[in-house]
Amino acid sequence: MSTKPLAISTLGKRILPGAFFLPHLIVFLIFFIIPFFYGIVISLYDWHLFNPDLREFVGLDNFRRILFESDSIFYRYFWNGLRNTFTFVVLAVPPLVITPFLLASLLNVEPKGYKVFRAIFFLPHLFSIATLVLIWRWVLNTNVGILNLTLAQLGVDYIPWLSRQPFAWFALVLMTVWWTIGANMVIFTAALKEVPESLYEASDLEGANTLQKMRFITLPSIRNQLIYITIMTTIASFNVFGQPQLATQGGPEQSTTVLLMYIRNIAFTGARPNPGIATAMAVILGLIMMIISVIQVKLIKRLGD
Amino acid sequence: MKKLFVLLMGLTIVFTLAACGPDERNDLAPGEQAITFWNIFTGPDGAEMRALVDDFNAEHEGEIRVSTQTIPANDFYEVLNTSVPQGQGPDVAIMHLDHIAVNAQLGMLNSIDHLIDENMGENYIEQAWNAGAFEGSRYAVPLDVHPIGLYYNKDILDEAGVEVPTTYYELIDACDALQDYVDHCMPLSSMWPSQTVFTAALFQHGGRDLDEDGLYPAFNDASGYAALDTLHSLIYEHGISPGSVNVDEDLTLFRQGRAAFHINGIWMLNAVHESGINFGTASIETLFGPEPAIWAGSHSFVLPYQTGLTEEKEEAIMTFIEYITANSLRWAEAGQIPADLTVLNSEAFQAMDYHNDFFDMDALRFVTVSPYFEDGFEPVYSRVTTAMSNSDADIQALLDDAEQEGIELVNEALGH
Repeated sequence: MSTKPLAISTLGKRILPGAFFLPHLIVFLIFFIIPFFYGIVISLYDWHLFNPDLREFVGLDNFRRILFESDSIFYRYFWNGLRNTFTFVVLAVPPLVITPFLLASLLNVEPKGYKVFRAIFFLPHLFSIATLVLIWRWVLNTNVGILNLTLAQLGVDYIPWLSRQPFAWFALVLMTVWWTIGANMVIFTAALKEVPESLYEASDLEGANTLQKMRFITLPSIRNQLIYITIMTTIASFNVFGQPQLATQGGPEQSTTVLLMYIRNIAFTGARPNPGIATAMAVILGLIMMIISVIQVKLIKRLGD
Repeated sequence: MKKLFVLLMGLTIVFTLAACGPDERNDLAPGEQAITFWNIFTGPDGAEMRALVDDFNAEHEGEIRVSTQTIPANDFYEVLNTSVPQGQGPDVAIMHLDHIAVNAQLGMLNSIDHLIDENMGENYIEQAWNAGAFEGSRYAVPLDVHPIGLYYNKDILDEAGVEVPTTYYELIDACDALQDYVDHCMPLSSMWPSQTVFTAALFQHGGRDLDEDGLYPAFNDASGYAALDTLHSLIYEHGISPGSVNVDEDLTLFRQGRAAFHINGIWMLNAVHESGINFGTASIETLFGPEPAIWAGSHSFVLPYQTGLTEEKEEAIMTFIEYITANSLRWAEAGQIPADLTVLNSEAFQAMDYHNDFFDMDALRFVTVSPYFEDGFEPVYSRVTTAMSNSDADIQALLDDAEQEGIELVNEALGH
């Protein structure tokens, strides 16, 4: 053990990393940690948005009303919103993980012009949600949309993509896949590069086919990235809001009104905005997301064994 | 090298934080009032408003300086709702007419009773002025009214020898006569602005949005049924419009010359104009029912709640509001009807044919001024969409659902 006082350069080594993560820490505190705990506090109150002095502590009553009071409008909003959010997660997560994986696998072969395609696939990721929905509304419009006009050439009747089920869900998943391919594809591409070529060569000698290679070499090798992508995609899908808000306006008949849309409306609109109920809904949604993430980690870890 | 890194890092943090600060210049002249103004005008109308504000600032150099912030309409009320209670709101803001009562009741707005003289209202369109008062206090000064109306393709109507329809039966006859001349007679969007069309139809059948106390839904009666059934049967019985028309699809078909008629707000005037279609405008006041009524909205100026406003500043704010309303001819060009009667009756405005053909002053109807409007009436909007996008929609069941949801939301808001 050295008892020498710390040299300046050593001190710098200790402070420097801090200087790098400090900006993120500040943002993380302000926009995540503080609202997170503040939200839990609000969920225990009958909260008044404009006059917090009038708030009244009600314990878990907000949670009781949402979860069990079946003749309450909030109960119906919550369960309908949760069902719609779940529907989106179930429909969206598989294509959101599989499509980028397949594209990354193709790019990994490095065919001619793969760099151009990599850029093209990544491009939609840079669009804002408003732009995304604007573009897709013009593609999916019933009477003037490119898709229906194209299908009409093949003799298919106009399909009301945004105002009839099950087309509305299909439309929302389609635009989400197109929008988010980029981020996951980049991670998959990097992961696939890391898989040692020798493993594939060895499996060739053993006579393994393509599917076997994927199951026993590729997937176990990229297990960590797969866990990360699946969890982050699931969490992002639970937070779906912009696509149904702007493209279907929650319709038809509130079948795509996801939980976050109800939460926002309850918290901010009407003659009596009710942040207590809204944050209670958000807390429950957060708990559900945590539980599902843990289950996912366990399941995918088993995949590699 | 490391020191350079730390320095750069530090500078980055400083600049990032500095960039979060308000975008205000601090070089005010002594006695000059700085006013912040929030609005929702993100489109071409935003350019007109900025030009008006620039004119105002130039004319009041050294006395008042207004800085404008534009927030997209989708987020506007949430941003306002979260900023004002923290004392971070603007000095003056634009607000839609149907939001004034609820925000006044929530304590979001400062009353302006002490800032206006009793005759001021005589200079504005009466219905729009009245909508700015709630429980005996005044909260708003109207800038404009924006009704919905009928756009028609002159070339197609001339070719077919069809007159502009003014009633439901004339509309059906006109569409029959136009069948061989155009793809679609009058595409009706099942989404926005279908709620305004439904509300107009409701008023035209003698119905009400909320009851006379301004509390509970009142649309679920014979008039509400007739209104919704009218829109449904226009599409699925008379075929004047395809089904499941999305937002702006109706506008696109009209702009492409593939539709004879189009119903939309006056705010679409320039968008229609740009298409190069030879078009005219007409009032829809009796198009769906016998009682003349046109749905209209209005943008008003309000003073979001804040404490410690000096008298000088309040006066400066009112000077600004009165300047903009008095100079709103330019605003009318953005596709609005000025609420200021002097501007409205001016020769320059009377010469704007599209605007004047669009509406009839006596038929303008606004929704009930009530804090419970959103809770009590808006649940019907999604049911209007359903009725207009399903040939087999059960009109009565949809109205029942909407009424039930409205009653429950109002009860919740009342704490019952």
